[in-house]
Amino acid sequence: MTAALVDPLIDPLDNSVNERRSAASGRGRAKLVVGGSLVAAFVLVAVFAGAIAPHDPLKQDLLHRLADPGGAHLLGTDALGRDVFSRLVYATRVDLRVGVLCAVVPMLVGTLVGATAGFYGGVADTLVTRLIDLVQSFPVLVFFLALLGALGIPQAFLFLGPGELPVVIVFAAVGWIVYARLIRGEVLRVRELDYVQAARAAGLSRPRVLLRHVLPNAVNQTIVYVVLDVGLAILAMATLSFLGLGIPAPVPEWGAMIAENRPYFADQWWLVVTPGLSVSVLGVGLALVGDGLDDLLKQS
Amino acid sequence: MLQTTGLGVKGSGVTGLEVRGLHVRYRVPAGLGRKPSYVDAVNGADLSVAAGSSLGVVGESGCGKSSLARAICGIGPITSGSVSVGGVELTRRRDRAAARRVQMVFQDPTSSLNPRRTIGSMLRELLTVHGLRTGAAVDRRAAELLELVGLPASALGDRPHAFSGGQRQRIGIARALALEPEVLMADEAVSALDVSTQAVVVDLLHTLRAELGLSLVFISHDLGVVRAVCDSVAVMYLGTIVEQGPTEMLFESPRHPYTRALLDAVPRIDVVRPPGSARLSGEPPSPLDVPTGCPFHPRCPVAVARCRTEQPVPVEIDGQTVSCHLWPHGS
Amino acid sequence: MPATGSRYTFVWHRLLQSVPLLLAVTFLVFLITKVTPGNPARTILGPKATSEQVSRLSHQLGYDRGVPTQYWRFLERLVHGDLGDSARTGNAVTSVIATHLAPTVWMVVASALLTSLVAVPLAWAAAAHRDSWLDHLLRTSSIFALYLPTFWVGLVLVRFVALPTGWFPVSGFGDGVTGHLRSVVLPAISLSLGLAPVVARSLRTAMIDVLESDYVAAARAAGVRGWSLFRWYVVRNSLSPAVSLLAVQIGFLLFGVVVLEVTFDINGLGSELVTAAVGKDLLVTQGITLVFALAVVVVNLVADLLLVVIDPRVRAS
Ligand SMILES: Nc1ncnc2c1ncn2[C@@H]1O[C@H](COP(=O)(O)OP(=O)(O)OP(=O)(O)O)[C@@H](O)[C@H]1O
Ligand code: SF4
Ligand SMILES: [Mg+2]
Repeated sequence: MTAALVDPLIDPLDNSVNERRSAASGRGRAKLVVGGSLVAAFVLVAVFAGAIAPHDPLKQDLLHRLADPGGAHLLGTDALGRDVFSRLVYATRVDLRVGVLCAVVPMLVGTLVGATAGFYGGVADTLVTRLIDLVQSFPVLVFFLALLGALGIPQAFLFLGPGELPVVIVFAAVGWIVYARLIRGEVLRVRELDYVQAARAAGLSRPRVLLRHVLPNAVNQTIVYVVLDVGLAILAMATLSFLGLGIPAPVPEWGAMIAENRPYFADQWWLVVTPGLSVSVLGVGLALVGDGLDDLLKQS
Repeated sequence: MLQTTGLGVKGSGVTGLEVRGLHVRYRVPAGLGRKPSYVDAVNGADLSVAAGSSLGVVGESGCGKSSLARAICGIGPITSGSVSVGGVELTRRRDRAAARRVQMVFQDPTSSLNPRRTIGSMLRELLTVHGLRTGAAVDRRAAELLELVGLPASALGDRPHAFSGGQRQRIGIARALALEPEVLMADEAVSALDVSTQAVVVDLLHTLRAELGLSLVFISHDLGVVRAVCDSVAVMYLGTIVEQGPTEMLFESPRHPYTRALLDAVPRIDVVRPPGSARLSGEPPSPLDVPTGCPFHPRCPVAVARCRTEQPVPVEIDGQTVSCHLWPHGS
Repeated sequence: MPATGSRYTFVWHRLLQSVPLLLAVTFLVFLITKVTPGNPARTILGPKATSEQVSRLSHQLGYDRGVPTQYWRFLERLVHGDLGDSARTGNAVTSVIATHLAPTVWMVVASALLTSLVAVPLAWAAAAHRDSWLDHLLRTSSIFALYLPTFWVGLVLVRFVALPTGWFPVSGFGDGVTGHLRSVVLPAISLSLGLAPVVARSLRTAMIDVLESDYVAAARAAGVRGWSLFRWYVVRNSLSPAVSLLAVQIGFLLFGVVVLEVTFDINGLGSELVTAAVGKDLLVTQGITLVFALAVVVVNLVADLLLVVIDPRVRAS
């Protein structure tokens, strides 16, 4: 799921709202502060997971299965006696890493293609416009699910843990199109502006005009979307992992944790509630940052 | 040659800008299944502007003034015809050295400067890319350019939003001058400014033109300003230059019915006329559907039968060029 | 302007447009068997198959030929209603689809209905009272709703509503019409909780566009006020954007249904798809994905055609 795709629906870049600019700017700053602190907290947890987690997230202790919260285990233990809090902490690392990659990789590819398409026109341009029509009338997430099934779950790859590479590949394979469309539209708009015409009239080379004059002024929306997309990618990945198709056991991942703890939900509700809350709270933090950025960028 | 100063070069005949038979045609893509149509925005324009002199281009909105300017500047299409500067032809695709010979000052002070770049970095980029200065001389030249347009060197560190409309137009002029062009195009360069600022910027353009020996093409809605500062004037109508000649002659004895209509619409010639107030009867012109024969005939008060079918060719009368059947060859 | 004539042209154009789209969509679905590592015939037949069986199927499906041939074979078999057999059960994929279709249709219809029932009035209220607390609440909640994991909401509803009250079944599809109805209530609520604010928010924008349009201003000037203004002008003119918005959302709605079938143990196409995907039952995965993809194409088509009926201004543009 990419934000730019649901954009006509969520409309984070709503220009129809007639609001006073200063008000929007003030609210933008407030959103950035609140959202930014939430996101920063998650990032810190991910980076310092080793120091924060009291236990090894994979270490089983069958003598202390399904322990209640408190004592040595802040959030108790799961069915295999693993410390739930530590698993949540380490899951932050996995979810954030994959979420960021699932947003940034398609953004980079899409920006490259979209900028080329918009600036130079030609075949790339036609292709991007056709592909976006296709993506909009296709159940993208159902397709992700099927693709992940067909790809299977390979081993860890470089700095990526088990199952992470196929998730990133599948997201990038479709997500770039959305970014390409976005950037293409912006490039088409900016390239007609007088300062770009002036740069061209000055005989600057086309790549130089594109990189130094067009792109920097065409990426505002993209920046907002990529922030929103990190959260949506985490949500989608957690969902796919819940279904058994994203990150495989025993890796701690929020969606997978919900799946593995589901049988014990009736009695140990926190086993399921906490990972789900983590997804939502991080998502809302990212949404606030994106929304606040949008408010601020609209000022300039 | 660039540094030739004084009014001495004015009208001296040194070749500046020469435009021959310039044609600009846009393809207008039509919707699904329909044929694309064409707009002939400039229809065989001939112009010449000597080094150090200035030409005013006037005409209603949509008559092709910007298309003409952009074609000359190398940023708009040239369908046919030629543009040469100093006797050398410049094609649409220009290398750096060729591009630098014609520069443009744009209309809109808000969109004519890259909002993300400081004035200094913008000027430095131009100077270094073109190899006009190196090392410490780059910064010195950038400051010099600002000084030339009447801005302090301290402005180099600021971004465009820090400046007023008039100041931005000055910066736009400095940007154009940075490349030491031979031809300066000013496309409605003052229309967006308030009246008092307009006068200052117009003044600046013409002083610089004289000092630097530039050919200046000054596109404007404002007949009063054109009369005050341009050496010669070209009147455009639906892509065609219908009349052209020395300013005083053209204003004193306009020969083309359209020029007359334009001038009649001005109660007093030296008063600033709001754009688009020309009291012309009939449908406003659509470049998508240019009439046959003389493009002006549907609105012309003195049209004759032949005007509907036959396109008039330019004739020269006392240094004034007119395209109208009322002025037959040899008259 | 002969309205009927241009309507027919529009319908024709739209139908013609669907042909390349269908080709592209079927090609994507076809790719599912292509991305699997190793010989897909081996994966399709499972580990117990002999190598002769594998090479026979390879030949039959065209895997020993180039990709265009394989795709052509896929289309040929598709036209004949042949989607292959399940690797796990040996049943024809078409019959797998047929037996699991009903619960999914129930889920989709219930969720779409509930989402619209919540979203439309919400949007109207927010559009009519712009910048009110309701409007702001809608904006905020639409952003928050986007980040709610549907499956998690479903589980929470089961744990904190279904279990304590016993009003709704905790899992399964129930028996008879009432049984089915009761089982799809919680999934539909879970889905519309996330979807309705999002849909409502964009509907609101569409309605505001209508409210600010010249003809509403004209109607106001002519003395049309309040409810009748809303009913006759705003409702009628914002129906088109509403229909196209819901059509765009159908892809996300379908994915939500897939996830919720698993969450609520409802044995429909969605849970069957997940089982197949996890078990690398390639042809079942492919077949069910195709059903969902075609559903999106058809819904978009129907929505576009509906637009012509609702709004005579729509032309083949
Ligand atoms: N890129 C383009 N593609 C198609 N048509 C164009 C394009 N640029 C300009 N035109 C059309 O060509 C005609 C001439 O436009 P141009 O901008 O040159 O006029 P202008 O005299 O500068 O008008 P104004 O006084 O409003 O600036 C207009 O009808 C315009 O719509
Ligand atoms: S040619 Fe005829 S129509 Fe054209 S300006 Fe002259 S008199 Fe008028
Ligand atoms: Mg213009």
